[in-house]
Amino acid sequence: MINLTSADKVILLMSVLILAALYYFTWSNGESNRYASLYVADEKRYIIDLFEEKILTIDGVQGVSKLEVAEGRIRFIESPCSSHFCIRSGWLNQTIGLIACLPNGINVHFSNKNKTYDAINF
Amino acid sequence: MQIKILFLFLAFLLVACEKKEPELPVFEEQMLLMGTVINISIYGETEQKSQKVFHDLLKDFKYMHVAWSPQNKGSLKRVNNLLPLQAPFSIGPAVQDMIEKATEISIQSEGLFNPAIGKIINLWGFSSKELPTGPPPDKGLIKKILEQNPQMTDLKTTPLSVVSSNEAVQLDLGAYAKGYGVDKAMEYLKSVGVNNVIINAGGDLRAIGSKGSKPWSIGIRHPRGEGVIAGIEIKGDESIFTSGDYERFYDYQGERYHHILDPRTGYPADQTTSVTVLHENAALADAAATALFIAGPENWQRIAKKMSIDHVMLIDKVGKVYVTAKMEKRLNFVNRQSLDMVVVQ
Repeated sequence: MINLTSADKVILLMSVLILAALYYFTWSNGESNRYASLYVADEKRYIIDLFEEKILTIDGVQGVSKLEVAEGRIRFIESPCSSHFCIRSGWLNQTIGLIACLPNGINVHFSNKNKTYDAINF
Repeated sequence: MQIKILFLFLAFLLVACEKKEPELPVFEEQMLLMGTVINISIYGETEQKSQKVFHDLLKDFKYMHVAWSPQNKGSLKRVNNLLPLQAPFSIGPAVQDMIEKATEISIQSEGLFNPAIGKIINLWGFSSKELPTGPPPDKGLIKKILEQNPQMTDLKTTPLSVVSSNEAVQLDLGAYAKGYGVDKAMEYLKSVGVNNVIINAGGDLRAIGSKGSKPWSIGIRHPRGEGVIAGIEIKGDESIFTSGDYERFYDYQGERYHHILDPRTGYPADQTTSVTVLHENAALADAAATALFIAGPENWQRIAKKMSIDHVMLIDKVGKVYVTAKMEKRLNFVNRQSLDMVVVQ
């Protein structure tokens, strides 16, 4: 049986807490995929916080596209292109990596450097 | 005694918390060209050098975008305007190289990769920037072109000239030019000593080197699900190209029409959902992904063998996965148990 004094217990508890904190700050990737970069005609225009719910209205090369931001995701909901392929692509998520309306020159992808994959093949 | 051991253990854990080697940032930039988003990721170079090579690549891809699209007023448009004359005319070395290599690959694929059916692709409207919206083209028009049987072997090149013996031949290099362009871009990067790069042209990519001590890690998108079907780590210098029915398609009166046309029927190939090819050469991987998609689950093995492609994953129209043994060894499936999979030796 270990006989621990109060001081031992305090030191032990602090050690465990420090270890946990060190582990988190050393190894964790922090807030992955919180931000997305939005480009218009190859130019980075906005860094978007995906946890701030909003509707973005973006002037593209053909007209206005609208994008919905909610719960860490973003998607096209309106675009002037005829195919609406951008809208049908659905939400940008961690594995899709990129959504775009090519006719309107708008594309969005994650900004973080801790992606699960360096690139997505599709 | 026991308390000392406990503190010794905690001290050991603290040592294990030594900060890992800091990773250098990956330079990432992109361009909207060749009908897609081209992403360049460079590791281990200065920001200044990365910016310089990116701008050089931007110029190159802009040139290729204009030169090789049948819609733009570039070299390919000129070639297509002159081919029906069926008389020799001059071409640039880049176009000649593309025609000759594409012809060779077309023969290997038994004509399933056939860039000579530009007229049919044009009828469907898949080569334009916007997707088509109306009914499929008139069957009679498609039939008429198919009867003329346009093939790459109808073209004969001599140094810096070409002649067509078939008035139906019109070139559309959509299933090849992207890979060819990626190869050219990679040649340039290697020549200036940039050896850790991914060039990702709209989801089809070639990667060389690594990200420091880690290999480049690529996710292959599930053709029907939301996420990734499998991951793969790049070894040295490899290209991964996928042809899928979900990339360019449109719906008309409840029917879906995608852009991968079977040159034997003039209609979208309908037995396959996607084909992924791994090969060091991006142009060959690009063309092979299209040819094997059209070959379908019945014939892809024969065509792959003829094209010397041994890393393939094909998903048929009901979701059954066919994968070569070599490809299977390389892939880390996300949820293997859920897949109906056949490994082919």
